Amino acid sequence: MTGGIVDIATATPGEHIDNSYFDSIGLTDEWIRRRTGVGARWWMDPDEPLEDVGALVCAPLVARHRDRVNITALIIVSCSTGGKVPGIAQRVAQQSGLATEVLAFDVNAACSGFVYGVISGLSLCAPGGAVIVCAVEAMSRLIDKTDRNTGPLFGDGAGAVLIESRPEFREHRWHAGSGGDRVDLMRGEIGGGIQLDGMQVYDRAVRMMTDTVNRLHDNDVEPTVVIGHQANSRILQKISAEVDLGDVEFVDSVEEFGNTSAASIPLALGTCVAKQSIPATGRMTLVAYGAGEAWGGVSVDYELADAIARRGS
Amino acid sequence: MASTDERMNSVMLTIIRRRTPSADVADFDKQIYDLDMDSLDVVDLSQALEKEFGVEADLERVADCLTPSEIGSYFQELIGSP
Repeated sequence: MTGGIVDIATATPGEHIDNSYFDSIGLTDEWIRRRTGVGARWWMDPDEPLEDVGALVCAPLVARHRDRVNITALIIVSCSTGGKVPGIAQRVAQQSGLATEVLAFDVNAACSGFVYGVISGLSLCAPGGAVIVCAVEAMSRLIDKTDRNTGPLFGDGAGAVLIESRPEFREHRWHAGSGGDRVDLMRGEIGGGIQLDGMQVYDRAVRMMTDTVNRLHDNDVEPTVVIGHQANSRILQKISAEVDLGDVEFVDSVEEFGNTSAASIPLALGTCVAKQSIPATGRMTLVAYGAGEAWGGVSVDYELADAIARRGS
Repeated sequence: MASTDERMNSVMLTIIRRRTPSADVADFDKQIYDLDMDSLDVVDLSQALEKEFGVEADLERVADCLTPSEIGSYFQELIGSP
C-alpha cells in the first residue's frame, strides 16, 4: 500500500503587493511580467511567527482528519525560519492540535523543500496512517526589496497537504539529485538579500526539471497534472514545451504569488483546487529545482474530491 | 540537406523573432538587447543551438557575446569545421 495526497490547506497572510511597489526602483509592471510572469505577491508582517502561519494551514487538516486516521508525522519545509534552534515543527504540531506522539521535524531544501517533504512523507506513511507535509515561507525576510534583480521575484505563503495510505493508490515514483559544486548559483539569508545568477539558474532549472519529469514519466501511469516549482513562468513554459506528456495540465500560478520557494507548489495546487481546474482524482507530478543546488520530483496519486467540493462551494 | 549556416540561421531566427518578428539575418550584427531580447532569451538561444548541433556550450562565454553573430561564431567553434 502506498500514500497519496488527499487534502490541502493554504494561506497567504499579510499584505498583497502588486508590481507598482517597484516603480520606485524603475521596474514597470510590464517589465516584471515579461521577464518573470509575476503580477503580485503576498508579504507577511515581519513579526508574524512562522509557526503561527504553519499552524494556520495544518490545524484545518488535523481537525478534518484526526478522528478517522492516525496522523503520525509532520514535516515542515522552509528556508526562511532563520536557521535557529529549535526549528518550528514541534510548535506547529502543538498549535495544530496534533498528538504529542508525532514525528515532527524541519527540512530545509530551499525551493525543492516541498518535493523533498512529500518524498519523505510518502516513505513515512504506514498503512492506515497519514502524514502532513507543510511548507511555510517568508521570503520577504530574505530579499532586499530594492534589489532590481531579485526584489520583485519573491513572495510569502504557506500550504500543507495530508498524505494518506490507501489501497487504491498506485506506487509513487521519485527522483532527486544535488550538486554542491553549484552552491553559489543561489544564496540568501534573513536580512541579507538573495544573490542569484539569473542566466545560470534559468538554464539549470529548465534542464534539471525537464530531465526529472522525463525520468518520472511512466507510460502506464501518466500524470493528469504537472506542478513545477513556481519560480518563473518562463521556466514553466519551457519545461512544458520540452517534455512530451500529451494531455496534461501544466500549472502556472506565478502571476498570483511570485516565487514562494518551498510553498510554491502547494499554493499552486491550492489554486487548482479552488478553481476546480484539475480532475478530482488522478496522478500529479511535482518537480522542483533550487538552491543547493537541489532538485527532485515525485509522481503520486491524489484524491481531492472532498477538497474541491469544499473549496468550490 | 541544409548547411550548418542555414541550420544555425534558422534556429537563431526562430528565437529572435519571438521578440522582433521582422528580424532577418542582416540583423545578427545588432546588439542583442536592441533586438528586444533579454538574458533569458539568450539562454533559450544557447539551449536551442546546443540541441540542434549536439554540442555543450559554456553559458558564461555565451553571456559575454553582444550580438547574435558573436553567439553564432562561438557555436561555429564548438561545432568545428565540416
